[in-house]
Amino acid sequence: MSRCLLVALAALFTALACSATTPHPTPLAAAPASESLREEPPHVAALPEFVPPVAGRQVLNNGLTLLTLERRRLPIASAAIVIKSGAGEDPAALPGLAGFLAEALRAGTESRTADEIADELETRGATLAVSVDQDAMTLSFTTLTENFDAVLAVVADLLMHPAFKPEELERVRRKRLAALRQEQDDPSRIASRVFRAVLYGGHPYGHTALGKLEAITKLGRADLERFYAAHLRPANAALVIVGPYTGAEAGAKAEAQLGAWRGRPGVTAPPPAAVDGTPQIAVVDRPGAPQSEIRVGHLGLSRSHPDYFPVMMCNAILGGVFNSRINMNLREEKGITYGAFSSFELWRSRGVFGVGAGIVTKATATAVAEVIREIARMRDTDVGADELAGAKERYALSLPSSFENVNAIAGNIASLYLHDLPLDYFRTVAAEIRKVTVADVRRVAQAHLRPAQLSVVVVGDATAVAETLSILDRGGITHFDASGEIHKGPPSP
Amino acid sequence: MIFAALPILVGLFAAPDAAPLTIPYERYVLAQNGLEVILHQDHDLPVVAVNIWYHAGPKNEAPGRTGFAHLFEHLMFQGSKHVKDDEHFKRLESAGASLVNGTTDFDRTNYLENVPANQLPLALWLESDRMGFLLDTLTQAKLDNQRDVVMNERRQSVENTPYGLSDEKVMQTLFPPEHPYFGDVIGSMDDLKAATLDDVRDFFNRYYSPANATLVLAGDFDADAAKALIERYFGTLPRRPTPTARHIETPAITKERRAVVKEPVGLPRVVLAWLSAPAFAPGDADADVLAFILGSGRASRLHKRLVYDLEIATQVAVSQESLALTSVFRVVVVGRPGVDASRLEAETQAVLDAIKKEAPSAREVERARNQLVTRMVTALQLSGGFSGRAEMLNRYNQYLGEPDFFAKDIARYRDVTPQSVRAFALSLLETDHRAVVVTVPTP
Repeated sequence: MSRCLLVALAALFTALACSATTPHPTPLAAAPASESLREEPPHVAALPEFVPPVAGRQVLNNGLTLLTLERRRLPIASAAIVIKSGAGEDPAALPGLAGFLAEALRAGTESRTADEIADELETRGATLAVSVDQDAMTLSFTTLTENFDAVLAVVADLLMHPAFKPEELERVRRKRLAALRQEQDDPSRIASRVFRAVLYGGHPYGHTALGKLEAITKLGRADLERFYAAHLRPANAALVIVGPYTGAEAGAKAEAQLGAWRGRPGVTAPPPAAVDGTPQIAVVDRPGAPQSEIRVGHLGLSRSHPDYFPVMMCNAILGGVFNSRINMNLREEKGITYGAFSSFELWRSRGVFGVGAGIVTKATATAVAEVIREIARMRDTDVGADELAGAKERYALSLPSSFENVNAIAGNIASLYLHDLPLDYFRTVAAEIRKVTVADVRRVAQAHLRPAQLSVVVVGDATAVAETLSILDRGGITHFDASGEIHKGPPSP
Repeated sequence: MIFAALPILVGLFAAPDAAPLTIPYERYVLAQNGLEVILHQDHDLPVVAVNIWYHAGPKNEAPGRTGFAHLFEHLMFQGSKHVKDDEHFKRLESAGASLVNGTTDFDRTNYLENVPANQLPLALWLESDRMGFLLDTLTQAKLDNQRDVVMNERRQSVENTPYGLSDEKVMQTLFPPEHPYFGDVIGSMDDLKAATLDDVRDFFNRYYSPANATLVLAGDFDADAAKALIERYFGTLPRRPTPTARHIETPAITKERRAVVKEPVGLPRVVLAWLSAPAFAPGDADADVLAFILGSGRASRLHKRLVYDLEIATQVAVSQESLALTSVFRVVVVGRPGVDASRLEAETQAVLDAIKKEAPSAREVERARNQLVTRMVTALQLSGGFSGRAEMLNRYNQYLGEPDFFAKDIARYRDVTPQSVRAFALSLLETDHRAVVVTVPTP
């Protein structure tokens, strides 16, 4: 198994594919024989402005939005069906319902068994991903074009005609209960689950798509059917197709496979904005753990917030990329982590600002204190002009690189639909980024980074970290168990 | 592997509308120092993927120095004579680069970045400086810091991750301690602690010479301009000795080896592992197809039987890890809560026995092949990163000497038949020839 220098990060800005750009010569200089040519980094020519293409939009008679982009490089195509309802729409008593439903879709239709679905998709080389997050349920796949129509037909069938057979639902239930148990073995996933619970409490964003044991145990077919009728509707969904098809060709495919899908009109509204609770220190005990998984953060913004671009630049300087302040401090100066990063997760309703890292146990409190210090520094002083310039170019100039593959392009177009962004959004990104000033970053840091509101989650050896964490002055430690519930019994010895 | 060949032009530039499944390239060797260069132009997007393979890795570590090749890789990002300590990432990120990384695998070490097309000179300046002048600014402080970072990486990915120690144990059970594939690439804490500055200098001088590396550019550049830049930045590096290949014996396993690992997890896990056909050798493609038939997707045999029908497993994974000296064929089964590991093993064994007894159906082979080919074409879209065209060119070049092996690679899978899969399964899946690692949950 290979080892990487750093863990991969999700790009903050993703983008659409472009057709062709003009080749341009690289500037030449006479090669001196000595080392002097190395003294200074090379001067480079300006990059010609890159103009991303724009997806086409159609609406089927049943209300389904169709977004298409023609891409003819290789005999390969991607499709994504994105539904504007996710785990954030789970009823309060049934956290995990949307995730359960997504799994149940592949467990059989009126005309196909679970086995037949798997066989038909996989024999055509397709891996169908069905994912659920706070805001959306997404079914996506990539296939060679010779298989595209057949695979889309199967996916449409499981979306439109799920059977929800009792014996299959019991199978799904047992599988998800086992997955819930398995999640409790992974410190990083425990930390993310508890972090969510601490920040959101009972808000619909406060649980993961996997949900909670009690809900998975008790939910029934009627619950699935209610959620299905309320949310899995053509007017609440978009089909994205990226491949060697014109808009008309893609339109015919969509009409043929999904034209008969029916449901009531209207788009599901996002949950109401969450409200800040009392900041706290939450610890999940893993006796003897060599590392603490830490999360530090508070409630943040929705994707529609007008401060989006300055906030992204603020995050890039604070902790969004390798060269950011938090990673340079904790990894390159102190050597107490393999990597530490911050993010603003921006959802349809109010999201999260958070910092995450795995920290060598003995340095846990140091790391938390340094993270809080770096957050405060963003508010208290202006960022350097060169720091901001680097962050801006990092994102403005790297757009083309995320335009290469149909699967990524389809995902990017799906995100435009989910967040109600204009289809020419990616043409505006570079200019919007370049407008951000040092003063903007300071302003948004003061508005959206709130040190006094920071909660801390530590999954690690409680005995080893308890005393040092107490210096953080957050009113004591709350002990959680690995399932994300407040620990009721006595603390572990 | 180094090719002292003159420039040869292979393939034609693909028409944008109907690109064939090839990676057209030009390959040559710098006369000044032996650096091998492979150029693949593609003007679709204004991006160039830069990817250097040093033909060195854990296979070149000295005894008692596990993890050294990977630790060394980290030091390559800490500055060199003309590049300040923190400048590599800073300059690349602020130039709009993405996928900046390095990886160490058993047979090689690679360094990569995607840069906007106009920034190719920056990438070549950075890469050539660390190839030529790494040692000039090496310090004990840098070594100590990156040693700490790597020890944290080991904690994060091996010690504090479910089944990390068990995975390491698999490779420690298959191979003797002196073998380069023993354990995890990341090495042991004790060996990492023992690494010295002299080790770093010695490793650089032996294995990081231009003649032991291949530079691939894939993307939007002008070939003449790129060659001139390569002359400028790499052609001015002195020639250094080429390392001689070390002969390594891989002892066969003749009697089943079993190990038990206790981990703080709730679910038991069983791994069955065999030494199998080396990368691209006869049997390697059969092994991939067998792995998919057994464990890839919900229609695969182990998923169908253990996860769906019996409901005794939560996950199955079967893989052929293709490597130069020997590959590793691995069956991994994670149990449901309360299921006994011996039951998992017995039911897994029954599935393996069945495929030895009777060849898979033509549809099963087709299913595996179509999944493999779809995955390959999906990767072909990308210029860089861990799986795109630049990486493929270097991988095919090191293992086969044929950078554009893509179509032939697909043909390897087209040649696999139900009979060849069964024959391979019969020859491989012997109880006496395997390692078994059982993870026992600890409360």
